[in-house]
Amino acid sequence: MSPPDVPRPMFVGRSTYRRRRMADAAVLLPILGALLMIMPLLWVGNATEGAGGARTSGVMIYLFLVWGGLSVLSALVARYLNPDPSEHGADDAASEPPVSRPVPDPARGPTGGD
Amino acid sequence: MAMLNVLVAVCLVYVVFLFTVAFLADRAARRGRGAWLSSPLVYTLSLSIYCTAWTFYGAVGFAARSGLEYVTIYLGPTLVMIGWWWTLRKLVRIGRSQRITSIADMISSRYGKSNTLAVCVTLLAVIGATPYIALQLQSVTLSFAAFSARDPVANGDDLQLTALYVALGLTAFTILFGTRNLDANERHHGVVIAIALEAVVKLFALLAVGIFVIWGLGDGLAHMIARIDASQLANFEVSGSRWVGLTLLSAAAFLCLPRMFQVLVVENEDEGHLRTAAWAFPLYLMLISLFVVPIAVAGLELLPRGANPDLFVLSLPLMAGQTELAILSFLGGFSSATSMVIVAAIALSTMVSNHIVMPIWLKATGGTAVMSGDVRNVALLARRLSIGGVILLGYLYFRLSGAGTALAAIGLVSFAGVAQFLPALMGGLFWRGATRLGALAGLGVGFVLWLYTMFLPSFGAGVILSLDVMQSGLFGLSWLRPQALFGAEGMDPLVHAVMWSMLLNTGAFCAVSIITFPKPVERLQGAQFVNVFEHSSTAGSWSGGLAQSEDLLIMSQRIMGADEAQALFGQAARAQGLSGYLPEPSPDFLEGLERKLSGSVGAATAHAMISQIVGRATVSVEDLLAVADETAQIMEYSSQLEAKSAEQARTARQLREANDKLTQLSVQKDGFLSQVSHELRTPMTSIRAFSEILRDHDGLRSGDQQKYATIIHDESLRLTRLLDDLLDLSVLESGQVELNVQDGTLAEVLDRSVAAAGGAPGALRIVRDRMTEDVVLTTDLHRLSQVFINLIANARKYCDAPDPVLDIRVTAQGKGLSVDFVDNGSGIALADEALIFEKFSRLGDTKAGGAGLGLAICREIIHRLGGSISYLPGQGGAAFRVDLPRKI
Repeated sequence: MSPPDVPRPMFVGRSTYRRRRMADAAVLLPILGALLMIMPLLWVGNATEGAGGARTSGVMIYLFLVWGGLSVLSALVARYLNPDPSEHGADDAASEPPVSRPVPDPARGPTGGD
Repeated sequence: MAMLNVLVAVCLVYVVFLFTVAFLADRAARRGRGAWLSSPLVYTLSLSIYCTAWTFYGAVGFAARSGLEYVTIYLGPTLVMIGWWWTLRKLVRIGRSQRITSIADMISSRYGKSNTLAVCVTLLAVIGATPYIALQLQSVTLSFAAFSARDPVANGDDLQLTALYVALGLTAFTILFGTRNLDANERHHGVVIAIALEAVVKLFALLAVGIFVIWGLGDGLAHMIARIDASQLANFEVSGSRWVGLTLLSAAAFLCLPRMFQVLVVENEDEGHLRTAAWAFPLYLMLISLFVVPIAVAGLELLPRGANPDLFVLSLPLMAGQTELAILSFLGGFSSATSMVIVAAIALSTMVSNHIVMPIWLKATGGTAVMSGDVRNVALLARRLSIGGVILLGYLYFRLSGAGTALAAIGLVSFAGVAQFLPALMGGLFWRGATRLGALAGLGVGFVLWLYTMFLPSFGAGVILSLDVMQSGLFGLSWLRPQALFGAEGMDPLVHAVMWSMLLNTGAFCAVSIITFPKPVERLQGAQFVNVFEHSSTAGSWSGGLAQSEDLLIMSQRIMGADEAQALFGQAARAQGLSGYLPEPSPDFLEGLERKLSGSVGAATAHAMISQIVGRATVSVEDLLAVADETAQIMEYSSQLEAKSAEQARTARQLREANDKLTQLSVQKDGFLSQVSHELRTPMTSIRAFSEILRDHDGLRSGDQQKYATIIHDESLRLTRLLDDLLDLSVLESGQVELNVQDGTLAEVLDRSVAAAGGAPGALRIVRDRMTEDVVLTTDLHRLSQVFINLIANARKYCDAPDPVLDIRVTAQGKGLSVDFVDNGSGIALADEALIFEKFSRLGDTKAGGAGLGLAICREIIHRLGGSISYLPGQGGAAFRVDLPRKI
C-alpha cells in the first residue's frame, strides 16, 4: 500500500560517481585490450601479396606500443579507483561526506586477528 | 675447465647470496622490521615466477620457430592483470577471508570443503606440474652444457649430475624457507624476497642480452628492424585460432597454475597491492618479451644452422666472446628455473600434505585428533617430504623423458592441464548454482580429454599411445583419434586439444551442476564465495555448545604450537569476558579457530578435526532448519506485532468515532432533555392555567368553559402521546415486546399506513407500484405499519420540495424484500446520517416539533421483526430502506 520506506538515493556524490565510472573503466579495459591484441590477425592475409603486407617488425612495434599503452591506462585506472573515499586525500572526496561505502573492509575472522 | 669452474663458483656465490637474503628477510619479518618486505613492488616482482626458464630460454626458441606467436603467452596474463577488477580482486578477497592455502583448497572450500575434489585437483596439479619442473631442470642442464661445449675438458657424466645437484639444492632451499611456518597462509617472506630478487636478475639479464644483440652485435634499432625484415621471420604469419587460443590458454593458466595461485592469492598481503601489480606486471611482461624477436633473428643469422634456438640467449654472448654477459645470462636462466621450482614445490607440497597425506594420516591413527601424537610435527614432516617428492618426480621425469622436446611444447601441455581448473574455479566465484558434483564431472572430463588428446600424444606416437591409436583412433574408431576428435581434422593439435577439453569440461560442469542438488555446506560456501563483497564475514557453521574447549586447545596446540594456541585461546577467553585459557566454544570462536587451523592444514582437514571434537561432521540439515525456524518465528512474531498494532490503530479509530458519537449524543440528549421538559412543560402549563381559570372563575360562559376544557383535553392527549412513545421505545429496547404475527400482503399494510399517516390529501404525492407490492408477509403487521406510518409521516413533515413526492419502491431480495421510501426533498446531511436513528435525535431546527423518537422506535421494531432499517444516501432526497424477511 504505502511505498517502501527504505530511502535509496537516486544520485550519489561526486567522488562516488567518479569512482563508479572508474570501476566501469576497469571492467572495460581488458575488453579493449583483447580487441587491440587480436587486431594483427586482420593483417595476416595481406602478407602473401608481397609488398604492403604485414611485417613481423611492424606488428611487433604495434603490439609493444599497445602493451605499453595498456599498462599506462591500467595505472591511471588503478590510481583513481580508490576503494575507500576517505583515503582519497585532499581531492574532491574530502569536500563532501562519502555517500556510501560499497566495498566493505576486508574480512577478519572474529577471533583470528593476526 | 676454467670457465666451467668460474661458472660453478659464480653459481654457488649466487646461491649463497640468495640463501642469505632469504634468511635476513625472514629474520627481519620475524622481528617485525619487515614492512618493506610487503611492498606492492615485491608482490609484483614475485608474480614474475610466471616467467620461468621457459620464458627465459624458450621464448626465443618459440620466436625462432614461429615468429611473433610467442607473445600470446604474455598477452593472456596481461589481460588478466589489467582486468584485475573482474577476477583477481574477488579471488584475493576470498583467499584472504577464507584463509585459502592453495588452489585445491580454494576449489574444495568453495564446493562444501570436499576433500575428494581437493584430491582430484591436487593430483591433476602434480601431473601437470611435473613436466614443467623437469623442464626447469633440463634448462639448467642445457645451459651448463652450452658452457661445457666450449670447454674441451668437460665431462659429460658431470653434466648429468648437474640436474641432480640442482634438484637437491632446490629441495634444501625450499624446505628451509618454505616450511618455516606450518601456517601455509602465512607469508614466506624469505622465499618471496628471494624470488623478487631473482625476478630482477632475470629481467636484467634478458634486457642486457637484448641490448647487446641490438647495439653490440648490430648497428642499433633501425638496423635491427631491417634485419628482422630480411630474416625468415619477416612475414607476420600466424594462425588466427592459435593466436586467440594461446592467449586464452595463457590467461587461464595464469589464474590456475598452482604456483601462480600461490603468489597471487596465498602470499598476497594486501589487496591494495593488486593496484600496483595491475600496471607494473604487464609492464614487466612487456619488457621481458621486448627483445625476444631481435635475439631470435640474430641467433638465426649468426649461429650455425642446427644450433638449439632455445639456447640463443646463452650462445650468442658466448659466440661473441662476452663471457661476463654469458654468465649473467646463465644466472638469469638459473633464477627463472629455480624460482619456479621453489614456488611450485611449496604450492604443490601444501596441497599434497593438506589434502592427501594429512587425511590419510588422520584416518590411519584412528581419526582422533586429540589423542594422536604431535600433529604439528607430522604436518611439517608431510610437507617437507612432499617438497622432496615433487622435486624428485620432476627429476625422474627429466631423466626418463630425456632432453630433446622443445621447451615451449612441454610448457603448453602443462598449461592446458591446469587450465582444466578454470571452469570450476570461475564457476565457483561467479555462479552460486555450481555444485561439487558438477565440478568433479567437469574436472574429470577435462582431465581425461587432456590426457588423451595432449599429454599422452606429447610423448610422441608409439611411446604410450600406439601408432595405430594415433592414426585410426581408439578401438579403431576413427572419431576417437586423439588429434582429430569427433572428426575435427586439420586443426592445430594444441588448439584442438584445448578446445575439446575446455568445451566438454565446461559443458559437463554446467550440466551436472544444473541437475544435481548441493549439500547445505556447499550452498553456504557458495553464497559466501559469490557474494564475498556483500558480506565478508561468514555465516556461522558451528552452533554447538558441546565441544570441549580443553580438547580443542590440546588439538590446536599440536597444530599451531603451544604458545600460539594458548595466546589465541586466551585472547578469545578474554574477548568473552572469561579469565584463563578456555573460552566458551561459541560458534564465533569455533569459526575463527577453524579458519586459523585451515591456514595450517587446509579447510577440509580443519573442518574434519573440529567436527570430531564438536561431534558433528558438517552443518546438518537440522541445524539449517533450526536456523530457518528461528528466523521464521521471529518473522512471524514481528508480523503478529504488526497485525496487533494495526488492530490497535483500528480500535483506537473506532473508539475515537464512538467517543465523538457519544459526545454528540450527550449534547443532543442534553438538548433533548431541555426540549422534552419544555414539551412537557408547555401542555402542563396550559393545563394548569386553564384548570385554574375553570376553578377560580365561576362566571365563565359555557362556550369558554367548553373551549378551555377542550384545550386541557388536547394538551393531556399530547402528553399521553409523548409518554406513550417513550414507553413504547423503552419496552422495545428492553425486548419485552410481544409480537402479534399475522399473514397479510405488503400492499394492505402500505394502504393502511398511507391512510393512517393522514394529512391533507395532495400535499404529498405518493408514488407506488402495486405490482411489486403483492407479496405475502408473515409478521407483526401492526408494528410494521407503525414503521411505515412513521416514515410516511416524516416525509410529509420534512420534505421541503415545492411539489413533494414520496416514491415507495419494493424489491424482492432472496428470502426477504426491501422497501425504499425516497422523497425529493433536500435529504439529510452526511454528518447527521449516523445520528438519525438514535433516540432523542432531531435534526437541525425543530419546526415539525416531533419528539425525536420516531426513527429510534422504527429501528427497534424492524430489529424485532428480524430486519433492518437504514438510510440510503445518494438518492436525490431523503431515502430510507427497510429490509424485511418475508416470514418472521
